[in-house]
Amino acid sequence: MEPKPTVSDLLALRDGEVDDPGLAARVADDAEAGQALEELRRLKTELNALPPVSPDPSVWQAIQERTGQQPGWLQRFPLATAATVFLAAALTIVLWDPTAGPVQGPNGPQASDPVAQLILRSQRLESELLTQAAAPVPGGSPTEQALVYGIADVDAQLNELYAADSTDPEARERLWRQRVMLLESLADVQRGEAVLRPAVY
Amino acid sequence: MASFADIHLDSGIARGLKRGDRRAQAVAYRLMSPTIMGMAVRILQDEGLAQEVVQDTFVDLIDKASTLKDPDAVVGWVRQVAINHCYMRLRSPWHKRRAAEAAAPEALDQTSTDERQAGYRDIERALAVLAPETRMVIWLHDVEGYTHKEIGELTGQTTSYSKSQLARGYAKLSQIVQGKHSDGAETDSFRPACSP
Repeated sequence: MEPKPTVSDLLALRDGEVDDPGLAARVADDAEAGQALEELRRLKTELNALPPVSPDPSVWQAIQERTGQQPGWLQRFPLATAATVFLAAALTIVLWDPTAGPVQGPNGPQASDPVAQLILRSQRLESELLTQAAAPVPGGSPTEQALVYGIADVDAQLNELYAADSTDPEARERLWRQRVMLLESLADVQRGEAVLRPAVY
Repeated sequence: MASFADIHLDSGIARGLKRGDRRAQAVAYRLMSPTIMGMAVRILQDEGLAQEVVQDTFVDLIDKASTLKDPDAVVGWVRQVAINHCYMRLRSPWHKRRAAEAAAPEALDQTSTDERQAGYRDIERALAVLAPETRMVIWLHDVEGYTHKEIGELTGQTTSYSKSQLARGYAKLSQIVQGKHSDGAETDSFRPACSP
């Protein structure tokens, strides 16, 4: 007695990837297998009918910021922008208190903030790594895998830190510095310079 | 349809991308971001991560477009980069831990994040129950038209691995959509119609 077709057999038949010439006949003679094949076709059709999903509008804004582009309003109203910048600079001079500590703006850390610099460095390294190799090499060397996992673990710690709304600047800086070091090591390894930088903990 | 094969990027837009033209970038984003997002959200089952994939993919495109040798191959290049960004997130231990926590049969009872496609809820919810790697194999093979060999190369696995993931995934999808999901077992068979 011929064995009943498996899901793999039916998928191969559905997708025209059959190695067994007798398979189509066996499925044709088996009502249940034929029904299962129809079900597989229907599921594939449903998958392909799933509609696209629009990302949140903030994604495009973030892309523009990360690629160093000005928002549209800055291009449309350069004079007003210049006036605003001038006013902000004037107010800074008038209100500046040289004895005060570092100030953080409402939209995030300033460029002079070491954490902000580390974040920028991290983003650039990641972007460079991903577009050079297009992804971590599947089944890469143990060193590469250890570095990728190390980065993921730092990410997990950062996520926990931000989720807990922690305001500990030292912890943030330490983790971002660690992330940058790991990314730099990964870049070195991928460039063939198997130099492991000392981890910063 | 949510496949990259359905995207037509005018060659003028592709050349504009190469020049760094902002309008071309905005048009490319409008055309391609919903497809990237659709793929990423279905593979990763996390809207936040999917938005990160869209963001990272376009940052790569804008940064590297000037180096693209063939402007007509932009869509294929973007697809590859987006898939790689999805795969990188799937491999992250953090994502694996989260996926393991979420991959319980009770996930079937959860409403999809924002019920964005009420009419597609069955297949959407069934996808959510599969293992992340299985979802990715199904999506790449059946929506993006990747061959098992290409999936094997992408994941560093064999062609058989891809075939096996596809079969296990469909066996489970079929059970779930037909309301037969009960014990979470994955086999390469329809029960009771066909044996392994």
